[in-house]
Amino acid sequence: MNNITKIIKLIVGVWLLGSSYLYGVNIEVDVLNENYTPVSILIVNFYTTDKTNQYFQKIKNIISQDLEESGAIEPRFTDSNVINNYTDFSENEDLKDLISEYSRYSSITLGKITYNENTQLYNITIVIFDSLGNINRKFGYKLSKRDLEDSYSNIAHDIANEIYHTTIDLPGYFLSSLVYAAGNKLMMADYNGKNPEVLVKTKERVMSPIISPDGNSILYVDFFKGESTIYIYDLYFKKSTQLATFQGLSLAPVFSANGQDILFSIANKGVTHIFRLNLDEKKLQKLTSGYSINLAGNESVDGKYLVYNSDKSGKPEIYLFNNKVKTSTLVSYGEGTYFTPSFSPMGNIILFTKIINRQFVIGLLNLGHQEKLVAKDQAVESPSWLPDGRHIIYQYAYKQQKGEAQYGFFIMDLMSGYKIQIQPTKDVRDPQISKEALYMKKINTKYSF
Amino acid sequence: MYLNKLKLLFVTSLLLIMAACSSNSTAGDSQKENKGTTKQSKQQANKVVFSPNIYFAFDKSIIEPSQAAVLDKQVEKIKKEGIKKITIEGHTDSIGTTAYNIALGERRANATKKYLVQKGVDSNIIKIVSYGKSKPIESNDTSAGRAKNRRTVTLFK
Repeated sequence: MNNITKIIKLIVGVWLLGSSYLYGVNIEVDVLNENYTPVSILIVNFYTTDKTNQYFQKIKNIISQDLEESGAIEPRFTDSNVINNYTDFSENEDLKDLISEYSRYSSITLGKITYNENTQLYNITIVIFDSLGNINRKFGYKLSKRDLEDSYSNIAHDIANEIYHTTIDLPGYFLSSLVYAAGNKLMMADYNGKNPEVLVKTKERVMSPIISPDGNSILYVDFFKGESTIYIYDLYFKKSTQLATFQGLSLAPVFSANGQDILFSIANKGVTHIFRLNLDEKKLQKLTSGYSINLAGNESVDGKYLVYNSDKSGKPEIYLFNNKVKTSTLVSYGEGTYFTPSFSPMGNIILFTKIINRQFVIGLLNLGHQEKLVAKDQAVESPSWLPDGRHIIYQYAYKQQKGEAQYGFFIMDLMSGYKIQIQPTKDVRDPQISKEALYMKKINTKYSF
Repeated sequence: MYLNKLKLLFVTSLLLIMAACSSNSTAGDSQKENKGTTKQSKQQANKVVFSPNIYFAFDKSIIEPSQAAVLDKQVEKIKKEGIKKITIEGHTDSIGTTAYNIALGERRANATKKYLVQKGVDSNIIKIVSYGKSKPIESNDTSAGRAKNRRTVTLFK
């Protein structure tokens, strides 16, 4: 944890985001809690005796890294020969004794690996107990040796997701994909920046990639010689299509909550307005008006509200657009200028970039009108949510030469303030993490029992 | 005597080497210069950058009176030389996010276009583009540098 986070922690202390007037749902996020300690969990066994053990060691390492770097969970690993003798986890007294021995842990995950000579399949079974010995989750994977070699990393992330979800009660993000812009390339990588690959290469610059809610496509802006055009990239067919032709510069596209519309801005004749384009009917609807710059954030999960950025008051602020009655409400209230607002996956918190005295900061706005700043690194920008609504990812500049900045990403746990640095490739910008595993990471060897 | 001859030979060789180097260097420079001139001529054939730029206040797109005088000279040039194609580039400093600054750059370029059109330039020959904060000409670390980056650039073809 760096000094800046510590300073922010001292300033803000514990901030409780209260009830939502929008949805009537109580969501409490204890932001940057100085006293936060990660949840301790125990993972018992994770080895096999044959030569494929190297993969199980790798699986163990990935699970460990995922959970530790979340800042939310502190995993401990131990081995026990007792476990290997049992197939029915719930009925055995020895097993219950073992669990009670480790009752100081919030959850105990048992991993058991067997090999069936007849089917030539490995069977990984995972059972997650709470500290009282109740089974919270049971699942497994049946894998050939080839499956194991090809997908051990995805299986490890999937197990980490299950442990995270069971322990924290929030969706895991370890199997999600990171999409970002790197100079003239649209890139995709694992959530932690590993295994980067080029999806699209353009002539000059890629901006603002956004993954569709169904995970099948990515919107992005292709910037060339001072003009910008929106494209949609199909992840199955690996092909980009221009959204449509508009007069002016097309900017900042996002999908609507249901994925059926695209919200984006057109800068033309000195004004920049937000439009809604229905993907089926190709019907275009203008949402904002006046002599102002308006840029869409995203829609609330129920699709009732659009949060956006506008300078119609004289400086960039955050507004909510009610999709039903077509009216806007100013929701930001502090000093400085506000940009890039986005609703949290669960509902009532808005993440934003703010500039005060030329300093870029990232903050959270509770719709009960409370604001807290959470990150103040050099030139922080483009923050977005991870699917659990507890972590954010954002871009920061770490070096400046003659006005040119080099960029990296941070993933930050809003509760503990713990951050991990990601530098998948050079000149990285505009990070976005998919809501869930994209099709190429779906695991078809998984089963429940 | 032998020593003197050796000295003479050494000095002569040295002079010859120096002359050769000098000659190479001149030829190299000349080639570079020619290449540069050719490149410049090609660039000039395609586009001419009209200088000085038009500068703006922070987060603003209003043409200040001092800048209007600069634009009046541009109008004069456009009319005098019968220029048929104009591109106006909008630029910003680094304060503000990427998308917002592209929009602000467009607004500045449009304000510049509007002024030229008001002074009688045909709007159909003017194209607007915006680079936002991506092409600074000065460091954004100082207020003087940022002021230089808040600009529009007019290109004539």
